[in-house]
Order: sequence, then C-alpha cells, then structure tokens
Amino acid sequence: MTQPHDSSTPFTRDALVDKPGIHGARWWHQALEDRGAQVARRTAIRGMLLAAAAIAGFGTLLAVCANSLDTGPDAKEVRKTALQLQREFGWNFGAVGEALVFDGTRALPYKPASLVTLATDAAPKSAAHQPFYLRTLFEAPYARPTLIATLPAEEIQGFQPLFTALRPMVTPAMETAYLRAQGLAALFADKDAKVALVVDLPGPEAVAFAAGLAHAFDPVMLFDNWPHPRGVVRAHHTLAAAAYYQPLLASAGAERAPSAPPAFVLDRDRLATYIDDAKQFDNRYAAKLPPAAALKALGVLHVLYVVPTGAEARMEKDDINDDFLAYAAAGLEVRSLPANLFAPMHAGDETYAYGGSPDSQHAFFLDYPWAPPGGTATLRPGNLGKDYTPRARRTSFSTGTGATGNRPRPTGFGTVPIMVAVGTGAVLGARHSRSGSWNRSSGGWGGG
Amino acid sequence: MKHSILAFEVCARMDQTPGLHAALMGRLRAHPPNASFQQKWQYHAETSATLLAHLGAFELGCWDYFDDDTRAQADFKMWVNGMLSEEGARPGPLGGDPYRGEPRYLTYTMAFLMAQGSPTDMIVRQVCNIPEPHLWARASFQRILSNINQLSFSSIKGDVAYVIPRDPTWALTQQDLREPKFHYLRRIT
Repeated sequence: MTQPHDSSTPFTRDALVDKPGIHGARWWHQALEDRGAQVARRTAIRGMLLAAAAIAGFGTLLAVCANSLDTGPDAKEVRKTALQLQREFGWNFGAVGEALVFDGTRALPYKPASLVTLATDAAPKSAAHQPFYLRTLFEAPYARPTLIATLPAEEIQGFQPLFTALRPMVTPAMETAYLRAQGLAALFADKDAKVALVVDLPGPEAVAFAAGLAHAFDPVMLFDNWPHPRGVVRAHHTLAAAAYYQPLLASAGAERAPSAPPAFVLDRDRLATYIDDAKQFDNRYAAKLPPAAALKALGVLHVLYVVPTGAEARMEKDDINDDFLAYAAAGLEVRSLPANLFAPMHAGDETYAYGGSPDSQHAFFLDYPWAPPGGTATLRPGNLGKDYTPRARRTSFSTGTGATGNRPRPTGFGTVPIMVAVGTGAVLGARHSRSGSWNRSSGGWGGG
Repeated sequence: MKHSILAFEVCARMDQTPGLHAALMGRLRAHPPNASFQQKWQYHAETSATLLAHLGAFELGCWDYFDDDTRAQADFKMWVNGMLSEEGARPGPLGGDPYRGEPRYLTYTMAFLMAQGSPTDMIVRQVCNIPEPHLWARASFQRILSNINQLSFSSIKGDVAYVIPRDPTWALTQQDLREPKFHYLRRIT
C-alpha cells in the first residue's frame, strides 16, 4: 500500500488499517533520512536562527523555527556548569514547577525577608578569614537570573525566587551536631591552640556544627553550589539549616573575639553519587580549602578534620587529599576527629563531653597535644582520628601528590547537559531524556 | 540522525462526545495518502483543535516523550504495531447504539517520530517538561494538544494516527478497557 513519492508531498502513507474496529495510518518522510539533502536548508535555518536571536527572545525564536523549514539537528547538546546555568536561567533551571522536598524535617515560621542578610550573617567576622568564604549558597534565595528574559514566557512566568520555596529546618541530627560542637568549642575556650578546623559533615549538620562552634571559632562556610529540585546535592537542606541558625550565627558573630580561629565548613555530600542526567541535576562541587601558605599566614599549626564517625576518620574525602598532603608537606599537623566522640556528659544532659564522660573530657588535649589539658582525665576514648595523617591517594579528584595546580575531576563533573542552537549558541533548554504520563516499558502494547 | 518521540492517546465515552467520532473519522479519511508539510500540519492542528473541544470528556489517556534514540524508534514501531495488529480493537461488534445504554468508548492515538534536537523537538521537549504530580492532569493533556500546532513536519520523520473504532458498533466497552492491554491508559484527573 506504499504510495509513489513526490517531492512536493514528502509524506507518504506506507501503512493503512481500515477495519471496523480500527482505522488509521502511518505516514513516512523518507527524505529526512537523506542528511546530505538537508545541508543547504540547514544553512538557511541557521541564518534564520541568527536573525531571530538578534531581534527576539527565545519564544519568538522557537516560533520562527516552528513555522519555518525545520530540518535536521539545528540544536546540539553541550554541557555547561550547573551553577552558571542556575545563575543565568534560575535556580530551578529545567525544573520549573517542581518542588523542593524537605522531608523528615520540622518547618518553622520565619520571615523570608530575613534571608536577604543571610550571606552577611553567615560570613566570617575576621577580615583575615573572609577571602576564603564562599557565599555562593547564601546568595541563592534572592538571586535574579541574568538571562531569564531569553527563555520562553512560561519559564519566565513560572520562575519564583528561591526564597519563596525555602523554609528553615531543624532535625534531631542537627541538634545533636550543634551540641557536639558546643562540647568541642568549650575545650578550646581560652586556649591558643593555633588550630584550624575543617568540618566535613552532611550539609545541615555541618551548618549546625558551625553554629555550635560560633562563639569560639570563626565559621568560614564553603558551600559552593545552589539548590535544585533534582539536585544530586541536597543543598536546599543546607540552606534551610542555615536559615534556621541565621539569628544565632549573626549574634555569635557580633560577640566573637576577633582572634577566634577559623572553622572551614564543608558539605560532606558535595561529591554525592551522580547517576542519571535525566533525573538528576549535577550540582556537585569540589571543596576549595585555603592553601597551606595561607593557613600558616593565619598562624595555624594544626588542622583538625571533623568527620561524622570513626568510620570516616582514617581517610579524608578525595577532593581534599591534595590539600591535606600539601598541609602536611608545609609542616602543618593534620589530624581527624570523629564528631560522635562527643556525647552527653550525663544521661539526658545537653552538655556534651569528649568521650561522653567528665572523666574523659580532658583527654582531648592528650589525644591532640596542642594545648595543656584543662583537667585530669581518667578515661581515654577509643579515637581512630588522633593518629590519622593524610596519605597520598590518586583518585578522580586528586593527583596524590599534593599538587596545588589543576586537579583532576571526573568527566562532566558539576555540569548539566543542555541543548543550544547550533547557529547562535543560544541556550534552548535543559535536556531531558523522557517525560510522560506512563512508562511504556512496564507493559501494555506488545509490539515493537 | 537521532530521534525523539511524542505519543499521545485519549479515550472518551461516545455518548459524552457527540460528533467527536465522526469528526475524527472524517479528518482521518480525508487525509491524502501523499501529503505536504502543510497538509500534515493542517490535519494534526485541526484534529487537535477538535480534541481540545472535547477535553473535558476524556476519561483516560496517556502521553510520552522520549529523546533517547533507541527508545524513540522502538516506541514508534510499537505504536505503529499497535495499529497494524489491531490490538486495541474489539474482535467483533457488540451491536446496539453506542450513544445509548451501556457506555461505549472511542480512543484516538497519534505519535510522532521527530528529528532529535530540531526546533520542533525542542518545542515538544519544553511542552512535555511537566512535573510528575501533573502527568495525568487534564491541564497537561490540554497543554500538549494546544501545542500540536507548533509542530513543523519538515523535522518529523513519521507519524501515525488512528481511531478505535472505525464503525460505531465496534466501540469499546468498559469491560474492554479493563483488559490488561489497556492498562497503560490512566485516569485523567
């Protein structure tokens, strides 16, 4: 039943069913397979794309293309840095209308307008520490996309600033982290231990830990990404935690001694596993710690790496291996500390002690002999971190040499696939592998 | 050339959509065997407008967009085979008047195999970027139908369209629609 082909009628009906129960047909556009024949037309379209991009926004561009000759791959897939895309097209680029999920948390009433000052309230107060502060995450709530006007009208209308989707949150894990940090900070009170902390806990707990330290240490937040509804790194949890502790961070900062040592604060999930371009948005990032020389210039002699438990105390995250090797090579002493070694001093107590007992509290400066102990210790907790030293490891994120230059990163790390117009380079949109009301792979028609 | 696919199907009670079956059949029969881009566009634009006029009556439906080349080609073949094998059609007439008595149903199906990355594909991708909670929302079906007239058939490699039933006495019953072969149709909310 195939019909003869005519160039003025490029679609040919090549299948017809005409039965009482069903009537339908398939038409085929064979010429579309002849890519050579498309070149001239594609060149013409490119010209139209260029002209359209010069005079109009994206919606018009698409309309022009849709109503014009429209053959071949006039768009191509490229990868672009996730954060850059979000800054240009919105924090929820490619997922407008999708909600951030704050599951398992307590939502609290707050004034969204207070988030305007979050980046300032969370900033280190020491001028010497401020160059290392990354305010990236805290700028997200009120950020206005710089290129959103080039997107389709529905994207522009659908965009809502992040602060409208955000709410403070606090979890039991955060509350525990806060108390553990208070226990650690109490040990360093009135001591010049020449220490810098590197707090590497899951985002919300890292923020809580920083808040618990904030009277004795100057937190230097290093959260270098933005939330996204499909984000691999659940940065919105970190941001929501920061919103919760914002008043405390602000007041502690105002009261803190200018000489307070730095606590560099990292989201331990920054390198989270990334699997699927379609379902995930790769907002991962690598830590940016100060170089060894900068720490030494701050008077730091010891680096204490705070990790969740003893299980993580023997190895740092891959992206800071080179940093720590460089610290050690520069004569800085690097040790790790499992945060869970801080436990209630007495059952039900909110005062946390090293080793969870008044008898082990003062063992801290025996395990880390950087200052005289404040008292006698009759108990020593089992601590896998006190003997930790960084070892050279070559990974996807480290050279294993302590090199300070370019460090390896996995292909595509922190980038997102998008479609751009071939002729203009204009971003056309996010690339999605599928969307639909039903996944036909689960059954249904048996054909194919 | 890589491909993407848009597939769309709706199901409506015939007595709730007077004139719809005749309109769909009329347009499909009038579609020329060899068609220009304009004729293809006109057929689908007018058919979608007809469907939109009955949007509120659609009870079941499904739609899919894939831009995985292998999947797109396989799915297009699957939709075509669904027509060729008459899988969705009744094996025989039930008789009676489909506009009276027991509810009787029609389905309309269309699928487009598109040049991946073409502007038309980009439009469809954008249109189909619908949050999961809204996949079966009537508004989502409306959104897709409303944008069919944005397709440029110069970047569509193949399309398939079919109506079940051709003859009203072969209209589907509720029992037919409960069969596993129709489980892909979801309740439109």
